[in-house]
Amino acid sequence: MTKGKSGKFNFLDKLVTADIAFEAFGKNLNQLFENAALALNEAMVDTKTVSAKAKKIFKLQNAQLNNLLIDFLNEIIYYKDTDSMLFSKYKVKIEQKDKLWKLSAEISGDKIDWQKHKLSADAKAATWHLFELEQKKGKGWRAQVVIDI
Amino acid sequence: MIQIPTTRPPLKRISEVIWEISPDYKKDAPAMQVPARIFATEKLLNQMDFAVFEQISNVACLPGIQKAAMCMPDAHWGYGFPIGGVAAFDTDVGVISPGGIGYDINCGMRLIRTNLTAEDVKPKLKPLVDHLFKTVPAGVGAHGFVKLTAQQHKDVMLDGAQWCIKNDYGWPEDKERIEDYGRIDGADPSKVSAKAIKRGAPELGTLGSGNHYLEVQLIEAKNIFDKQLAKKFGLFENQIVVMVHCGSRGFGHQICTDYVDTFRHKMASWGLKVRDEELACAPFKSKEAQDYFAAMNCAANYGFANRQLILHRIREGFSHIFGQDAEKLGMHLIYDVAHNIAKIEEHKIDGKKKELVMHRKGATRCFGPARKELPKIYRETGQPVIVGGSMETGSYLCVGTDEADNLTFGSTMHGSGRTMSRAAAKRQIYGTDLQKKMEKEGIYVRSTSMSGLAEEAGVAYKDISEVVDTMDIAGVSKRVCKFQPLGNVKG
Repeated sequence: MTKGKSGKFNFLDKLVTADIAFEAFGKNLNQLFENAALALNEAMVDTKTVSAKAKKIFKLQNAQLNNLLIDFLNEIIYYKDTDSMLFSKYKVKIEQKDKLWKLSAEISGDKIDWQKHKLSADAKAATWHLFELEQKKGKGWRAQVVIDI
Repeated sequence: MIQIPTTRPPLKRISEVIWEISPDYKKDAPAMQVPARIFATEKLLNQMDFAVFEQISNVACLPGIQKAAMCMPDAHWGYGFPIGGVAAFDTDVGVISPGGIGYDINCGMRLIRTNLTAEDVKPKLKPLVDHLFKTVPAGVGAHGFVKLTAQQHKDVMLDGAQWCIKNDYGWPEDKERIEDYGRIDGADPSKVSAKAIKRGAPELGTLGSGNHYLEVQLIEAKNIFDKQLAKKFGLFENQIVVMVHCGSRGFGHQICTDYVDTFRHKMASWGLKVRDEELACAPFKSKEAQDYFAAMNCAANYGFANRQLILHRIREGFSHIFGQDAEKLGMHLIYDVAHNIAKIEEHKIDGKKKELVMHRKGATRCFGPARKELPKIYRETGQPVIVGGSMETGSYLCVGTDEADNLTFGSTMHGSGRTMSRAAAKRQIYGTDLQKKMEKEGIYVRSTSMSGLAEEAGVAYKDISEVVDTMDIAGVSKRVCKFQPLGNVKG
């Protein structure tokens, strides 16, 4: 395991060979999703080198919470590719309404610049491989995600 | 909590390099329909992570699977199917599974010859590699040099590499030297999501990152194993060649993501149960499966087009550095192969010809001279099979055999396969140190990411020679020559 941002996420080095795996934590779902977004971006770049210059605002919904998390991470990957951006700030709000999980997110970042940003891997998809999402009584939420790179 | 396997199932050795897991290993529904077969030397078998055996035996449980679920010697665990997985399904009663093709649809390899020798290239290696690094877009966020209209993007999905050739990004002869002539029928852009199209359009003509690369390579005399065949393929000792490894970029990934999601939600309605979420699949005759196959073919064509555009830039680059046009430099394409794909192919099952949905994930087609799919130029020799190694240890050209049809549905390895995680590689190696070490050894590397470079160090991969030898011993694909890396461009 490689320690990530303390209490927010860890990379799980021994879980996978060719890809990247992380576990993310949160006291509530909003925090969990924000920390998962941080882990995803930290897999690609040192987010301290990414200024929060431009925003992407989007909404998602899904009947299943686990699907919502995968969709959320894949939405970030989508913007990375279409807009050549990486992200360092995340604000997520999740609520359950009419049997649907609804997410609204505001993520901020910058255009990819090899001179400025300390880049590493290129995330291509959040996958269902070894996926876990659980709420532990009194301890908050934990998600385990493998990213295809 | 998901349990990672800590033991290996019982294996029966059925030949020097073929091992079998009996269908008895998983008898509870969904049970194994066929055995699982692993192609490996004993050394490679002992290096394989235990999850590979679980995954391939899970694949053997899928409906309509024929003969055996197979693992190539470079296998390591992946999503649902192991990477290095081969499986064939009856088109009537079988399934199609995106995990058996991979996220990077039509990731593949391309090999280009030149008339140049080591003495021609070595003095200009740095400017050559620097120029290719500048002109072939690579790395996170890189965008391609061909700006497509929406209609042109659709045309690429339909026509693949042939679109590029028609639009002067290639030579007319190139299409004969690409698997499926660089264009697979049955692509349907209406089955591709707007998201995939938006993601794919800016990335056409880019190398990507991770283990994708273009490499300037040398054939040393000692590394030509079949002189006659090498000559027929246009290869000679001391020759410089170029190899490309890349796929369909975000376009293929998005298509896979989209359809895994579609299939997951419908599996219960089809009465399908699988042992692993990532084995999400659909009955091949279902509308959803046909839609996925049509979209997958769009991504396959995109992958061929991608490598064709990169070839165009490589020819331009060599021409710029060596002051002659690419035709005079003899820069003919030798072949282009896909190693993440599903195809409809006819194979013999119990002596009868049957139409099958062939899944090859991290596995390369290796047809022998008897197969009609091969272009005229290779009907005498068999199909060239390009096998990419690490940037330190080298790559191979092999040739397909008719015997491969009987053993592996005409399939073989795709590369050397990882043994070390990316994080473990980065803990052991600094990218800048590796770059300097390789330069001292005569290999000049340019990369957009030093940590990405460290992840691709040779120590992180299996011994490619052992992998290639396995399939040579098995009679599936025969070694022709090995290529020594001289210059490498990575994203």
